[in-house]
Amino acid sequence: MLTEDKVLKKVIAAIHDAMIVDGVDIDMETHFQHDLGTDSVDIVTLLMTLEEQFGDNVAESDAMGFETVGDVVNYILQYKSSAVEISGAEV
Amino acid sequence: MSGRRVVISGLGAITAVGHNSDIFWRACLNGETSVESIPQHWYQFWQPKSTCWSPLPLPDYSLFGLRKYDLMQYDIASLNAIAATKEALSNAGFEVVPQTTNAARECIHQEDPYNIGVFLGTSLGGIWSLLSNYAAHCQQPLREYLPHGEQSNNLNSDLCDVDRALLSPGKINTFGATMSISNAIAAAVGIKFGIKGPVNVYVCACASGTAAIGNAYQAIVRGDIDMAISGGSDYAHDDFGALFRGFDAVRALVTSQNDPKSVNRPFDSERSGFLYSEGGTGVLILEELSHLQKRQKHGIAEICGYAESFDSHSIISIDTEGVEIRRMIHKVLESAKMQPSDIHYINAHGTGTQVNDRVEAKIISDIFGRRPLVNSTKSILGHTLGASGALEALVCARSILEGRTHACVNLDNPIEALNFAVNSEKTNILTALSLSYAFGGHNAALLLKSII
Repeated sequence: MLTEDKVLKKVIAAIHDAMIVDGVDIDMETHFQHDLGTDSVDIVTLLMTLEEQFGDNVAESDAMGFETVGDVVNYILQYKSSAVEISGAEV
Repeated sequence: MSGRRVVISGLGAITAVGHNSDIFWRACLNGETSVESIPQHWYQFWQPKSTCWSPLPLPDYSLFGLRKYDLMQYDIASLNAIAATKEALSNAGFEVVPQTTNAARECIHQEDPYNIGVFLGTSLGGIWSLLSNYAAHCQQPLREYLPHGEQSNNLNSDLCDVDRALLSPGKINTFGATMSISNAIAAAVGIKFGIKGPVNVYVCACASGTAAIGNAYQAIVRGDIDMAISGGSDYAHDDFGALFRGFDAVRALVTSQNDPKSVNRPFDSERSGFLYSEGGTGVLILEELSHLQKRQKHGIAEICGYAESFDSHSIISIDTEGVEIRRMIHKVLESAKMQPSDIHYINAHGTGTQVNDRVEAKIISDIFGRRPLVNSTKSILGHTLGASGALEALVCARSILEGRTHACVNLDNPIEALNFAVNSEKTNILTALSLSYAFGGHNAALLLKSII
């Protein structure tokens, strides 16, 4: 069963792989630009790490619209849960 | 600015026989090589004349402070350049610390970033990234025929064969363009270490590393900068063996079918070509002498001359008279006010091809006679292309520091009566000449001496 908590943990892991966020507590409300200083290159890198975690169908146009970590989690919960099931990914 | 002296203060290396300069140097002294059969799956594409190579095991990049986003954004040639630079800076006694404004990047503690340059050579740049992305791009229509996800377990046997034949990654890397460009190697190092001085790449095939170090030396002598990160890096890998095939097609590679350990034989009468190396990286930190002295550190060796020339003869073959190579050697000696008799050791280009070794041995014999020790570091590593000159300069520096060098491996029947190194025993090495020549006709020579 894919829960918000499980997806959040995986998204946080993907963020740590994609950019420098050492020492920053990340939760659903964390804002990419305001709290993490994220730029467009970071978002592209994040997209690649999300694809590794959740399958390769995260649309770039969707990724560019992410403002908060919660946006990513909800996107995956809403549209991509089947990809997680197929890839057999474990949290 | 005349009279400025340039010293080598730090060394870094990623090679097939070791992932740091000390391990590489010890492997050289012990004559350790790494030669294996080429990957079996390459035979489905063509029948190669050469059947062995020297593969490059990749380092654990986390040991060099590289993180996953670095691995996603840079070609392996660039990652290895960063890793070797990290070692070389530490070896030179510099403290590398995170930048205050960006923890993803580092800087050299207490050094002016505008006073430091990056001068790196490469033959093929980010060719691995280019070719893997190209393959993924071309194969995309084929992949559309293949089911995805768990259904792949149920493919019929024909589709399984297709799936296996598609060796490339399943999709394009978003950073493929910037991973592939040749200047990325120097740019990656410049960005990672916060360098603000001149940052350039030198692309002249197998002389690239030597040319990069030589140009760094000249920039310091001119007074442009006081310190440089210099060297060369190449990663000549692709999943399908196409790069290897290119060199195999022109009969440049070893063709002997004997024991793989014995096929690489520079300057030997039984030589049959050069041993293809999957890649390597060598980095040397250069400093103006007073800059080093202010830090109260000791240098490894001094660079006292650099010269280059161009054959204007053939894109693929050395001028058999060696006219421009001879001119270059005299020029580098003159620049340091030295005579041929002053040279104790020559690290030859020594590829192991029929023509190169014959021409080079004759040139050395004519100019230097039998006095200087001669070896070829390519007898250890094979040909690391744009990294070779840098790794050979590294060997020259360590040879001067320790008063000994490595044997010319597999040299049983020398083609010329030169003073080839047959062991790594202590001897007198106060000066060293490193020679590099390249496809296209580029020649480069570095002259080193002990720091007095």
